[in-house]
Formats: sequence, C-alpha cells, structure tokens
Amino acid sequence: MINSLARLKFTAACPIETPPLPGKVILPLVCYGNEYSPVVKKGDEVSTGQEIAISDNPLMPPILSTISGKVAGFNKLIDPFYDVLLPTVTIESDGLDTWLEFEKADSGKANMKSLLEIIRKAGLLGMGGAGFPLYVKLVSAANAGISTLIINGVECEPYVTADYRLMLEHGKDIADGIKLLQQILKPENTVIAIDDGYIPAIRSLRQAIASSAPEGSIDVLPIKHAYPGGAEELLVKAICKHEIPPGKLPQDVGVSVHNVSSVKAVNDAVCLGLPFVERVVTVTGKVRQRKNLKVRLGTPVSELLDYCGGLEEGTGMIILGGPMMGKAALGTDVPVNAMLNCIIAVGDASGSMENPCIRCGRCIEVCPVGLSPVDLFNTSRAGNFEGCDKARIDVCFECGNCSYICPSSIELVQYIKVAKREIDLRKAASTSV
Amino acid sequence: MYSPLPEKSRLSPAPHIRSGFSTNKMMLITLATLLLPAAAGVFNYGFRALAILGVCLASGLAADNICARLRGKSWRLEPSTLISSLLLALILPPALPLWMAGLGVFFAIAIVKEAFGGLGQNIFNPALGARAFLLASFALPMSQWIEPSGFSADAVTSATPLVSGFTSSLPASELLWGLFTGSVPGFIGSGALFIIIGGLVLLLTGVIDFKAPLGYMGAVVVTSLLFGENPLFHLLAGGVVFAAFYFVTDPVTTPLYWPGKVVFAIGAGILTILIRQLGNAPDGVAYAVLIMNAVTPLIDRYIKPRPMGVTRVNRNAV
Repeated sequence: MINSLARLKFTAACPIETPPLPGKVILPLVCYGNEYSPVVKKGDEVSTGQEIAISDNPLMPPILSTISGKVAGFNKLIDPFYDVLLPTVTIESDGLDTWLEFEKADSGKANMKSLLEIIRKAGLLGMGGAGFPLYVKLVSAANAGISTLIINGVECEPYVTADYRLMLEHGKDIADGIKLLQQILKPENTVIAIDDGYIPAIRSLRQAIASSAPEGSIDVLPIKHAYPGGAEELLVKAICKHEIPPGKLPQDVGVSVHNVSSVKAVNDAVCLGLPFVERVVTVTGKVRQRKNLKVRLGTPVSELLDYCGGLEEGTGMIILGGPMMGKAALGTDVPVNAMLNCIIAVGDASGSMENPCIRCGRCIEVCPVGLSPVDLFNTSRAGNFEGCDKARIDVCFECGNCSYICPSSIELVQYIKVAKREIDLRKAASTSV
Repeated sequence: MYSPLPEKSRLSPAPHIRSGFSTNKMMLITLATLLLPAAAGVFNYGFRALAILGVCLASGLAADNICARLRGKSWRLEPSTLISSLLLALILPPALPLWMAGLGVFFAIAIVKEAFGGLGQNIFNPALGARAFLLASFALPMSQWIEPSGFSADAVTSATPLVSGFTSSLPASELLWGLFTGSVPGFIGSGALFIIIGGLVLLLTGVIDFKAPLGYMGAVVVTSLLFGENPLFHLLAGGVVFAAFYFVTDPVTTPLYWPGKVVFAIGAGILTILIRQLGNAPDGVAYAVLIMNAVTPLIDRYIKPRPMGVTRVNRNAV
C-alpha cells in the first residue's frame, strides 16, 4: 500500500459539469462475452434510452441508445480495455435528446423482483471497474445470501475525483440507492467506505443518511487513505476481517461490494425512471481546463478533450482510467464506457531504461496482496509460467504498486501480466483438448 | 481548437506515474554519506589514508572497466563500484601497503562482484569478501594499527582496542569516547560518530530501513550482555556501526522480505559477538556478515510473504 499516492487529486474542487450533447456516440454491442443482435438498422431514428440491441442470454441487460438521433452504421473498434475487436453501433445525434419514457417504481412498495427487472431493463452495469451487469451481480449475491453490503466510495486511484464529486453533490441519491440495494440484498450491515481524506464527502453522506435512512442502518466508515485501498478484496479484508480465497467472489464470504456511482444509477433508474446512459468522468492532466464531466456513454474521448479546451502543447499520450491501472489509448476516437472514470493527458516523457534489480525488496513492501513481485518477475522472465502459477500469481490484481516503486524502473506488473495471460491461454488450451 | 495527438504518440504500460526514487539516486546518496568518514580518516591518518582511498577508487574503477570491456560493454563510471571501493578502503588499517589495498579492491570488484554476474547478482558483499581475502592472505599487515597522528610523518604502531580490550591503559570512559570519535587506533573510517551521521542520512532519505540496523545492533547488545561484556564497547569498537548501516542494509546480499532482513541482521549480530568471544578474529564483523550472506538464499526460501486469501488448506489448489 502506498499512502502518498491517494492524495494526488487535482480536480476535487471542480463541480460536475454537463458538456453539450455529443455529435455521435459509439456503443459496443457486446457485454462480458455475450453477443448482441441489433434490433435497429442503419438509418433508423432512435430516442435516448431506446433498446439498440439485445442478447440471447436473458440475464443480460439490453444495450440502450444514449442520445436521440439516427443509427449511422455498424463498425468494428479496437476495445481499449480488452484489446479485441468489438462490434459497435454509431448513432448520430439529432440534437433534440428526446427521452423514452421509463416506468418509475414506488421504492417503498416495489418488491425485489420488480426492482431487479427495472435494473436489468435500464441497462445498468457495475461502474467500479469490472463493468459486470448489475442485475446478474445482484441476483447471484441475493441467492448466495449477504451479511454485509459495502458501498465503495474510496476511489483510491490518484487523480480521479468522479466518485468524490458524486458523493459531495448527490449524497441523497446515493443514500436512496443504498436503501434500494438493502431491499434487494437484505444485508445485516451496510457500510459506506470512503477515503478518510474525502472529508466534505463524508459530511455530505452522513447528512443525507441522517435525513433519509433509519438511524444505524447505514454506517459511513472512513478508510485510511492509501493506494489501492479501494480494491474490492482489500475493502472486504479491512471491513469484514476475512480474506477472499483466490478465484472466489466477495459474495462467497457473504459480502457484496458496489461502487457509489452504481448506487446512484440504481436510484436514478428506479426512482426517476432514467435509463443508464451517462456517468461522471474526470478529465485531467495536460488539458487546458481540468474538469469533472457528466457524459453520455459512447461519447468519443476527443469531444471531451475538446470541451476541456484541448490538449496542451507536448501531450504525447492519453490514458483511459487512472494513472496506476489505466491503459494508454490507441487514439482519441475511443468511446467512454461504463467503467471509465478518468481521462488523463500526459506528456511524452521518455520511459526510463530498465536497470538491474538490486533486490531491495521495496516491491514486496508495497504489494497489497502479499506477493513477491521480484520473484514473479524473475520467474516470468525465465519463461517458467508454471512456477508463477505455483507462486499464486493469480492473487495479483495488477494495481501497479511494484512498478511504481521500483528504483530500477523494472516494469514488474507488466511481466506479471504477461505470465498471467500465458497461464490463462495454456489452461484454456489444455481444457479444450 | 482540438489539438490531436502527435503522429508518433507513445504507448506505455501502466502505471503511468513513477516514484522517481531511482537506484542511481540511492547510490549517490550512499556515496555522499561515505565522504564524512573518509574525511575523518584523512584528518586522523593524513597522507596514508588519502593514498589508500585514492588507490582503492582507482583500482575499483579499473577492475570494473576491465570486466565491462571483457563483456563487450562500453566504458563506465558505476556508482556502485565507487561505493564498494570506498567501503573497503574505510575498513582497512591505515598502515597497509598500498599495493595490498589495490589488490583487495580489485578482488572485491572483479571476483566477488563481477564474476558472480555484476550488480544485483553477487552473493557476498564485495567489500567484506575482499577484507576476508586480505585477512587470509596478509594476516600481519592487516592487523597492524597506528596511532591517529594526522599529517605528521611518524607512525606509532599500537594495538587495536579490540585486541587489548579493557586492558588498554585508557580509562573505560575515555576509551569509549575515543572509539566514538575515532581518536584511538582503528581502521581508516573508524569513529562511530561519522558513520552514525551517515547512517541517519540514509535513514531519513529512505535509502535504508531502520529495522535491519536496529536488529543487528540489538543482537550485538543482547549477546554481549550474555557474555558479561560491556555492550557499549562492542557497539562502538571495530566495524559494528559500519556494518549496521552499510553492510546488513546492503540490498543485494541480504534477504528480500523485511522479516528475512531482520533475521539476517540478528544472526549477523549474534555471530559477531560469538566470533569476538570464542573465535580467533578480533573483530568478527566481516565474517559474521559473510556467513549470513551465504545463508540469504535459504532465508529467502523460507521467509516469504503470504499471498492474500491463500491458506494452508487451499495453498495447492490452483
């Protein structure tokens, strides 16, 4: 864990702004490996929130248009997060933004089934990082039985302030969303975990909870600021004191973790009848004005950079996500997706040359999950992927602390990612034979 | 208004920010902290010390560059070589013939370090390995000590306090003060004060961690108490403080994980006093650390962090 990292926030004072509607949106027609078939064709007029594509898998949420306008065409796009070609649909805006009417539910009376169906129909995805369909996550958690519901407001990645602004400005929506999740999951305890440096947000949420939720039903728990303190497994360990076995989910130990943005989206869908079409994104780094923006999903990153005054001289790379785990974008025509909480423009600082490892052990000190990155690096570089597997490389969630701290500029986490990918490929090959 | 990315935009793997604390920075800080004991050595032993320091640095650079050229690499000025050379020079007796000092450093760099694979690969601490080599080869000159007399020409040979111990003519308090300031006979960089100052700089700049020095000095104190000895004398005499801040904290030749580093340090501390009390060598620091260097791979094998969520039960289920 690295304490100093969690404090690097440069846009905490920027209120959430709504930029003008995008000229077009690009929406991927795939979700967690499930193929989608379009229900519209090129040239069709669509409204905001209208179904564009549905999956054969009845558990999967539909893909909704995030603006109103005309279907311009179906293309393939390199997905910046998973490095594969994705089928996408492009919708050109008509500038009117006519919304499809959604049914609102009376949160007090609605039963669990109807709440879940609203969540599925509104197209909700987990917004914390995995982008897993919220309906599926909630159904399997409810079936597993949940004793603790954790709402994740830690936002430990440096630079990102999207969740912070959301908690500050929409405390009541989040509190109401939590009550809905409580209705679905029926947990014994509910905890909102927040970075202890987010003092105004802690105050805002405490006020919102005091005014709208029964006393003692939701705890606000400040978590000692450190990167990557907001990672699911670490939150579960910090709050519930038990460790999730590798390969298991929080629900296997009776815990369900949801990001604050997802919780607000649940409230919007159920209480306001709003489909899931937007999220808050922090735009920071070498842009002329750094901002927190509420943007439509599918908006090309270039339009957001443009709205922030364009790139400063000397920008060499755009990072999608935070500076520790985000990926370098192949271009600026990539769309915002449900998990994208941050866009960073960085300079063209040439990377440092890798020096010999001096065995200082700093990578072990900062590893939040008790691995020895230096040993994994040596084993991975030697091509001994079985050895990596035995050393439990699967526990690594690629936070990047080891590469960050390494005084010899060794790309430790990159060597680990290579080994993990190789192990996955070999396992897939051996099971398919 | 929108300025597109340049044609050749960069793609680099995460993370996209780095701590900026580099190996080079660590080396340069370490080198700088050694200047103080080096200066004290020159103040105490005059031209002899200056000559040994110069010969050691020159010999170290020569050895390093010969090895580099043999491997087809270009000429270089490695800070780690300068550190090893300076460290050895500082733990040599000031009256040692210059060619022996030069040979010792050459052995440190060419054999103990480069022959094992160079920076990061050596099993033994180069400076201590070379000191052991010199002790074995030139036992007499390696145990002849002179009174610190600055730049005056005449050198009076004398016994090191570790040999004479409390039988030395000085009262106990004066002896300890002498060891603290370097005014009694000892190696060039003796004078615990200057080494402690350097060590504090290393601690405050984050180059080293406090656990290993504390473990080492703690073990020295406890073990010497068990032998009924004055622990302060054992801390200040010989190379104990030097080892605490510069040898048991050497990242390359000590274990990776911090509990392992502490085990290493405690082991070295106990061995130091055992060798002093039961062995033949008057100091024992070099041998103690070298023995623990040899044990380091074993410590690394058994003292490891536990991956989160992995227990005895599910350890082998992948």
